[in-house]
Amino acid sequence: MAALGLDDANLLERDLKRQRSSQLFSVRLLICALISIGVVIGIIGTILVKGVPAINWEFLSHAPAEGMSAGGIWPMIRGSILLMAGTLLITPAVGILGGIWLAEYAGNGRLPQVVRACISTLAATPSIIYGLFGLAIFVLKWKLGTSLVAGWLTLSLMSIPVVMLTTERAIRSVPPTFLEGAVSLGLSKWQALRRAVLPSAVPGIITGLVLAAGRAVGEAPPILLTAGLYFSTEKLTLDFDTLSKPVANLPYHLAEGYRQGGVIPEKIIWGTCLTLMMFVLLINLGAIIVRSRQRAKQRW
Amino acid sequence: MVGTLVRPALSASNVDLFYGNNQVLKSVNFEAPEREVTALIGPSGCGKSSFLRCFNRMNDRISGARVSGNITVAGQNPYDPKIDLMALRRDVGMLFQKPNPFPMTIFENVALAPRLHYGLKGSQLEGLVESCLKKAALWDEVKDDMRRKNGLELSGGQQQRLCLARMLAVQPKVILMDEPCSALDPISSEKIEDLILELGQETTILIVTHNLQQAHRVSKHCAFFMLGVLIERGETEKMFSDPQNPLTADYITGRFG
Amino acid sequence: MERAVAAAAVLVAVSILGLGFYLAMESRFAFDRKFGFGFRVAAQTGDTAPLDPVGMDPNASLLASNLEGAEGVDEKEDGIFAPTLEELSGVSGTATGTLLVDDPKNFKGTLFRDDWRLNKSAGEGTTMLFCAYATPEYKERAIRIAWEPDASFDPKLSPHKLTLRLVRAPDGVTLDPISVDLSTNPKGEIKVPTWIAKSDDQRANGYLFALEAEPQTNNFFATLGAFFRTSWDPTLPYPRFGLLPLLLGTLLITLIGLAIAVPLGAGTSVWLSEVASPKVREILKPVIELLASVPTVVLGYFGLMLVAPAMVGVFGSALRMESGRNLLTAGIMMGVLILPTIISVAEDALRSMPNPLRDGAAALGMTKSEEISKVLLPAARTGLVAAIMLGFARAIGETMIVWILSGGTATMPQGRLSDIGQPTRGIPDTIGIEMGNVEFEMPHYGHLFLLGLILFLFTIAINMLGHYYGRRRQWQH
Repeated sequence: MAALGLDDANLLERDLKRQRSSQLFSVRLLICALISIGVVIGIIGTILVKGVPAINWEFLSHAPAEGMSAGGIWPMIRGSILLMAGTLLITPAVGILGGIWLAEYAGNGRLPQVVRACISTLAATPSIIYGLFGLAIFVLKWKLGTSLVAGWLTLSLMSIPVVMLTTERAIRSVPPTFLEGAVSLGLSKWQALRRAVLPSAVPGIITGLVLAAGRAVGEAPPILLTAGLYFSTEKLTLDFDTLSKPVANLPYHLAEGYRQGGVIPEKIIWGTCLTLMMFVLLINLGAIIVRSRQRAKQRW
Repeated sequence: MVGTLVRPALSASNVDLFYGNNQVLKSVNFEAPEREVTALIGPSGCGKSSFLRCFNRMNDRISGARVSGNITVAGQNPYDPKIDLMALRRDVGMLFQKPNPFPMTIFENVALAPRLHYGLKGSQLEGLVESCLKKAALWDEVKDDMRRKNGLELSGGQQQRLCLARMLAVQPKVILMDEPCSALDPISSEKIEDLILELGQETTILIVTHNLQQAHRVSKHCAFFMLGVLIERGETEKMFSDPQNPLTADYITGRFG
Repeated sequence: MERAVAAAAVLVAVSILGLGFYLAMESRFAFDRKFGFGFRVAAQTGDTAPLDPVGMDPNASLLASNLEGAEGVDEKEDGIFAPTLEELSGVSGTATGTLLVDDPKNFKGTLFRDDWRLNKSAGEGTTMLFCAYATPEYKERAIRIAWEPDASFDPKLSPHKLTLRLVRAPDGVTLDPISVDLSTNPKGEIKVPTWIAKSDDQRANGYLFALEAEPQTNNFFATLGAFFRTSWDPTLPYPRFGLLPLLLGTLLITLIGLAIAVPLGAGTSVWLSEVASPKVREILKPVIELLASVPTVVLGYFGLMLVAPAMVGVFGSALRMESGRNLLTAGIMMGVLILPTIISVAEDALRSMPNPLRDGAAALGMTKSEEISKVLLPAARTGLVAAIMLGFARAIGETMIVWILSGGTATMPQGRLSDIGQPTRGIPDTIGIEMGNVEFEMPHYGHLFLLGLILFLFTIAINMLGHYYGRRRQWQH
C-alpha cells in the first residue's frame, strides 16, 4: 500500500505474524477448554471411582451402625427425599403463578421492575441467608423448632424466586402471536394464556422446577440451621410427629461428619458423596433431557 | 454472451458451489470489467449472493460449503491453498445486506481495520478515517461526535455508509455488495446509489440486487442468474432493452421474480 | 385466577421485604452486647525487682467486669478474702485488697482478693476500689503498684475510658495526683512511698486506688465500632466480634477463585462459542454445566481429600503451610465451583452476538483472534461482566467449601504472599459453624445475623451493579 507508506513485503511479514498469533490464540483457547473439561471429568470421575466400592444395596437401605463407622445411609437418603418432596409441594404454586404474573400481567412499569429486581436479587442470595431467615422466622418466631416443616418452608422460599424467573422466561419465549391469536378468537386473557401459551411453556417451567429441586437437595446451609439431624436410626413414621422433628439428610450428614472430624470412615464418606452427587445429577439430567426435547420439538 | 474482456478484474470459469449435498451454482462462467459496476440480478435463491461470496471466500464460514472451478479476483485465486486470506480480503471489500457496524464508536469502526492491517496510528490514521468518512458522505454528519457516538446509534442509512467507510479504509481494489440497500428507506438508498456510481469510477464493484431499477441505474454490466445458472451476461443497457434469453426477458419485464 | 396470580407475586415481594427486615430485626440482639474489661493489679516490692510478674503474683487482685448474669444485679464474688496481716506475718511484703464498692463511703470493712462484676454496656460506667499496703516487716522505701490487662483483654478495643487513679494517699504522704490512662498504658507500674498497715482494720486506710471505667459512647455505636474491627473470637472471656478478618477471608477466597475461573472460563467459553463445532458444543456445554450441579459439600470433601494434600505437597514449604486447609486450597476449589457458571453465562453472551458482526470482521480481513478479541469480546462485554459478577455473587455466599477447606481460623492477613498458605475463615461458614453453638437471641446470635446482613447487602449491591451495567439477566444458581 504505497499510499499508506507500506510496501507489500512489509505487509506480508505483518500478515504472517498476525496469522501466527491467531494460531497461538486458538491453541490457548483449546488449552483452556481442555483444562475446564478435565476438571469436570476429573472431579465427577474421581468421586465415581472412589464412591462406587462403598455402594451396595445394604449401604443404600440400612441405617448407620456402630457409631457411623459401619452400616448404610438410608435415613439420610430418606430425609433428602422428604425435604425435596415437601419443597416441590409448596414451591410450584407460588413460583409458577408469580412467574405468570411477571411475564403477562406485570408489564414494564416502575413497580414491576422493582419487584423483578428484588426477585433476581433473591435468586442470587446465598443459601446461608435463607438458613438464617428460616431460623429466625420458622424455627424461632413461629416456634416450629428445628424440624422438617421449617426445612420445607426455608427451601421453598429459596426455590420460589428461581422458579419464578425460569417460568417468566419460559413464557416469554413463547411467541406473542400465540396469545394474540387466541385473544383475537374471543378468549379472555387468562383462558388464552392457559390454552395457547402455557402448554408451550411447560417444558421450560418443568426445567426450572427440577433445577430448584436439585438445589434444594444439594444445599447444606439452609438445612443446617433449620432442619438438620446428624444421627438417625429411627424408623420413619408418617404422621404429624415427623413434621415437627428434625430430619437426617445427605448434605447435613456430610457437613456434620466434617465438624465431628474423622468419625465416619473415608470409604463411607466417598459413598455418601457419590450418592448425594448422583441424586442431584440425575435430577438435573432430567432437566437437561426435558430441555433438549423441547428444543427438538420447537418449530417457531 | 459477450466476448472475453481484455483485463477482467473478476473472473470465474466452471464454478460449482455446493452446500453439503445441495448444489447452489452450476458451472458458472463469468467476468467483470475493471473500474466498472457490474450487477448480479435474478430471483431470490438463485445463487447470486453465494456467487458473490466466492470472491472473498465468505462461503468458507458456512460449514459444508465446497467450491470447484477457477476464480480470479484482483489477480489472485481466492481458493489457492497458499493464498494470504488477509491480503485477499484487504483487496476485496464487502458490504452486507444489513448494515453491521461494530458496537463501538464511529471512529473506532473505521480505524480498527487499518490499524490492524497497516499498523497506522496518530494523525495518519485520523487522516485516513476522515477521508474514508468523506468518501462515504458521512463526514459532515458525524465529524463532531464520531469519537463519542456509538456506530449503532446512527440511522440505518448512516450505518450502511459507515460500513462503506469502514471497508474503504482497508483500501480495497474490488468491492462486493450484497443487496446493500434492501434494508434501507428510499432516500438512504439513493444516497448509497450515488456513492456506488462515484466509487465505480475508480473501483471495481460487483453488486447483488433484486431491485431491477437499481441495477439499471448503477451498473454498466449485468449478469442474470436463475437456479444457480448464469443465464445471460452483458451490458446493462443492452440487456434491459434487448435481452437475448427469453428467461431474462420474462424476468426483466416482471413476469416472475 | 388472575387474582391468585397477583397474590403470588405480592407474596414474593413481601417475603423479599421480610428477608431484609428479619435479618435486620434479628441483628438487634447484637446490640445487647456488653463490654467487659479486666485488669490484674499487684502491689510489689519497690526497691528490689519483684519476684514475679503481675500475672504470676500470688497476691495480685483481679479487677474485672466480665461476668454474665441476671440483669441489674452485681454478683460480686465473695468468699476469697484478701490476705490478713496474720497470714502475712513474718513476710516482708506488699499486698492489695479490693473494697467491692464504688465509693469509699460505702466500704463495709471487709477486703477481698478480687472484684469481679457483671458485664457493663458501653453506656454504663463503673468504679472499682482497691487498697495497697506493706506488712510491718517491710523494709523497702517504696511500693510498686503494677498492673496488666487480664488475659485476652485488649484495652484498646474497649469502648470505655479506663483510668487508674489514686483516690487517696495515706496520712502524712503527699503525692501529686496520679491518673493513668489504661488504653495507652495497658501495662505499667508506678512507685509510691512505703506505707505500712499496722493492723487488718487499717489496711484500707492507706493507699486507695480506683479503676474507673467511664462511658464514651452509647452501646449501639460501641457495638458497631467493635464490629468493624480486626479480630473475631466470640468464645473469649472478653469476646471479639470484629468482622474484618471474616470479610477479608471471604473476599480473598473469592478473588483467588475469580483469578482462576475468569481466565479459564473466558477461554473455554470463547472456544465453545467460536471455535468448537456445534456438535461438540452441544455435548460439552451440558457436561460442563453438570459440574455446577455437584453439591458444594461434595466439592468441599473432594478438595479436602485430594486437593489439600496435593497443595501441601506442592506449595507446602514455599508458602509455609501447616495444613492443606487454607486460603489457597479454598480459593482453588471456589474457582472450580464458579467455573461452570462463568462458562455457561459467558458462552450464552457470546453466542447471542449476531453473525453479521463476525462476518463483518472477517470480511475486513481480520484474523480469527482479531475478530474475537477486537470485535466480539468488546461487543459482548456486558454479558461477560454479568458472568463475572454472577461468579462473584456465588463465591461470596458459598458456605460449605470455605467451611471444609479454609482451616477455620479467623486471622487477619498480614499482607505477605505466605498469607495465602494460612488458614482463614469467611462470613457464610462462620454463620454456619457458630449458629449451631450459640444461645438464641443473645449478642453472639445477633452478630451472626449482622454478618448475614452484610452478606445480603453485598448480594444486593452486586445485583444492582448488574442491573446498572447490563440488561436484565437470569441470576440463578
